[in-house]
Amino acid sequence: MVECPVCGADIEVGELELHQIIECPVCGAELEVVGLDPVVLEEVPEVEEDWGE
Amino acid sequence: MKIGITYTIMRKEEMMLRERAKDYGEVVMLHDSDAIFPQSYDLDVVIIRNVSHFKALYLAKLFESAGIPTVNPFHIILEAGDKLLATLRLSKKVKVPRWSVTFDEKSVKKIAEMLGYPIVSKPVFGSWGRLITKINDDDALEGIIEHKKWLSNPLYKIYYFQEFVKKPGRDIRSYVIGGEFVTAIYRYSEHWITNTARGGKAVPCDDEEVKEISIKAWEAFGEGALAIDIFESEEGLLVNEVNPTMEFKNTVKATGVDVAEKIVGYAVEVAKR
Repeated sequence: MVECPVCGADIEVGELELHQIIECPVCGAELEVVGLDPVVLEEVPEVEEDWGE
Repeated sequence: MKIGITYTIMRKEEMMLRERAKDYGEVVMLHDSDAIFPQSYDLDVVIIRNVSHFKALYLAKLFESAGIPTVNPFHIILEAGDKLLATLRLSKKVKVPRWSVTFDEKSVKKIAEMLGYPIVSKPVFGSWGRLITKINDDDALEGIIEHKKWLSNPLYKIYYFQEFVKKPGRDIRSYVIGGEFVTAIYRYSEHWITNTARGGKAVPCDDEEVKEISIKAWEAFGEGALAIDIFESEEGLLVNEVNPTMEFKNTVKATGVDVAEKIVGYAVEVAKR
């Protein structure tokens, strides 16, 4: 279990990878995995002006 | 074979690419934070997947300077990733929407007269429909120019416009990789900006004319893995733009085509040259 940094909900997580994006099932926030041991989640960085395809 | 994949965030696309690349050898994932230069990297090819256009550009150049080929290479990311530069290339091979550019706000009204309202203002760089504006009259044009004045990035002061193309509630996204047509989808949307990033619905497109124009559009660049955006207009198919760091998860879902495998296969070919 890991805490959502946005709403504080406990999120059940399986196998994760660094920089993977997951969604909080409670508040819907997009979260980036920034640490694995322990698991640390942060809100996905804001879209920057040159992001895209 | 050692395949590097540079990335900013691990999206479904990067996961798919990594899985396919494992079939060919060792895969080295390089997050933005891992790419530090100068240093030597023991890699045969690098697939550039950074979501930042400028990071992708510099990384491609850095690897190329170290003798490691990239997909896509620097000059493809540069020219395909800039809407004006891409239009210059595309217009030699395919029909494109009428366009005009100026470098001073005093001339934008002349452009509006030349193209005829409505027109579309686009930044020369950017994606996902960001800052693309449909302009119906002089008042709106004045408003947009006033807003651009206050955007700090100097690239926003390159005033690039296209004619507004009336589309049949959809546009087309196709994929050509190493000269091979891979697949295409229709993107349906009630809004005139149809990116799937903005909620456009993806449906397979199986049209021979789309295939032909897509290959010609790719030929305008001559190499690389490109996603091509096409409009169906009253004058036939028009190539709107190309994208050098393609997203494809919605296309894979809609068509079942393994786009990641095509990209990786092409990268391996490039490595062997």
